[in-house]
Amino acid sequence: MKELLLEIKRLDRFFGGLQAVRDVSFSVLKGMVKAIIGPNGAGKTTLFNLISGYLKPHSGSIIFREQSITGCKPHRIAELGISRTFQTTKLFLQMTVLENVMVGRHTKTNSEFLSALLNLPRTWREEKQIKEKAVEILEILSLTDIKDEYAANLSFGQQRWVEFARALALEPELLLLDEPAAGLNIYETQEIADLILKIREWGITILLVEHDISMVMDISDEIIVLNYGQKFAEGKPEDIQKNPEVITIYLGEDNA
Amino acid sequence: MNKKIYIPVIALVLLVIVIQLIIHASDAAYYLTQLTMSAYYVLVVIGLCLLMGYAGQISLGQAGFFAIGGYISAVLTTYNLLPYSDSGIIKFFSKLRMVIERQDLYGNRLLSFSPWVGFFAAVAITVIIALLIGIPVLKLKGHYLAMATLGFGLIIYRIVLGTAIFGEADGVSDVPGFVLIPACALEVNGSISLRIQNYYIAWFIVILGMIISVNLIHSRVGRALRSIHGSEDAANAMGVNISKYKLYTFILSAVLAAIGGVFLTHYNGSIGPSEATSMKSIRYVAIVAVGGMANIWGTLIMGVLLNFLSLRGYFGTYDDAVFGAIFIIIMLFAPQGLLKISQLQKICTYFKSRNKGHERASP
Repeated sequence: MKELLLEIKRLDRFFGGLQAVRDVSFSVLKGMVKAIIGPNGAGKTTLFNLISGYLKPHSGSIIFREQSITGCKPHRIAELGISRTFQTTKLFLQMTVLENVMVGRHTKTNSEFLSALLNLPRTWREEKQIKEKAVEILEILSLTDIKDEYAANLSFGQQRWVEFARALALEPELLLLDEPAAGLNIYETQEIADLILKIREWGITILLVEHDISMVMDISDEIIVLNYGQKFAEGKPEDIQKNPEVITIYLGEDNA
Repeated sequence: MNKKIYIPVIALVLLVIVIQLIIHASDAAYYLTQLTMSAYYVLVVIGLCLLMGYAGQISLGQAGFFAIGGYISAVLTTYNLLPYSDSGIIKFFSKLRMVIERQDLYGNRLLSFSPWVGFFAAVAITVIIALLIGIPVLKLKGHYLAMATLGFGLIIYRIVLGTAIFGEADGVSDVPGFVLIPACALEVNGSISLRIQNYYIAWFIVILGMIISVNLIHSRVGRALRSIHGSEDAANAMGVNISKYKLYTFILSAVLAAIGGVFLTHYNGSIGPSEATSMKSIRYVAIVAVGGMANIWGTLIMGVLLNFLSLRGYFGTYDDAVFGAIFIIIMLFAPQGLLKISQLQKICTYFKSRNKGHERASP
């Protein structure tokens, strides 16, 4: 029996009169890759922002490792072990790749303002650990070559990988990926898909939002379909693929 | 430990000594006065550089914090407590040597707080005010934060200008020297006989300020600050508590400004409302901007240079206009600052790659 990692219960979120997320409930088991799909404006990103704390739900609850994280601030949620990437990559452009990943070690270290000002021995021992770990992560993702490059000088595909490296530096339990394949070509998408499966092997649970249906079908253990903010279907990729209503949503009534 | 980060600090120490020796040899000791005063202003801009360049938050109220530091210390060290000398509390303070007796210019007895009390009171009050202002104001971004901090600066200016205890338009004068360590007669004092000593005291304080700044920049916290500047959302996702770090940096910059204010006031022997004007705040921002925003060394260089030129009167009556013009020019042509670190690095990598090319060419 697999352990429950994340539980979403009856989540609601409005934007003015628009209900972006309506009564959505689902759960994520430890070690799986779960995907959220749905047409544009279905509320996928809103749902992500609710889980990672960027938005507060109007009702419902989010339970992570048997602890409610509903309404927690994003940095607190990161501390608890949920890491995320963004739809449009948000790297720290004026910092090097290595420094970007080093920021990812923030939650795993604790030298604070005063000890940083005085550069106490504890601080520089910790600094060394941060750097070693960041270098290690970059090696695993084969990014060592570009480690001293400024993030602003990287190609779009490279930026995506660095964002992955940075998110992994948190050593999260749960990794939220917001459209990891957006803007990538077929080959780059395949590489990202392989990477996601590799990350799952490391024991990190993944929840992703994605438009690239074929990639989602390839890598996910379970899929949730959202439409107009509501959960429309949930199940294994092959079931979702066969579901005529899902096909209707994606292709329109006439084609069904 | 990464010792490389202290190389510029050592260079600064040597430069400070060399400049003093050159001035000594060239018989132009009067330059030391402006260099000492510039040093205290440099403290303000270093703090502002950490706030603007690293944490990415603007403040147009730094002159306010400078004035808070200067005025609190000035009032505490000049306010005559003689009428209350019989009260228990003053006697208690006297016992602790927190209140000292001296004579004013006309030989009258004067009982007032010691400069160290003034110093710590100034720092403590600055921390409290920065906290109270910072918590609501740092929720704002960009122009809004600039306006809010500008408003704070204007309030401080009006308070010192309109309050009797702060001397209204005259400011507070006859501020005594600041005896740092009585045993070795170290004193922050503008008198000509102490000129060399004071030059070194001021620069020693700046060097301490630079060391803590360098430490901060190259730490986990410094990286977190730069990440906030880069993308607040992403920094948040990395577990960086944005509002906490913004607030701490704001307080640090305020404290550095206040310390500059305290020492310069004791050095000059007075402080006036002109130190609290928003023109001064804009000047500090302009210096950080020419210094390269996220470049504390550039800020240090520009801070000394521009303040020195201004204090020597090279800008004449156009003093403020010059800083205004600098501001416009920087915003138009180099909004990232003049001594931009990444440009310097580009130059470095260019030369490095050229050298490598040469090595390859000659096996």
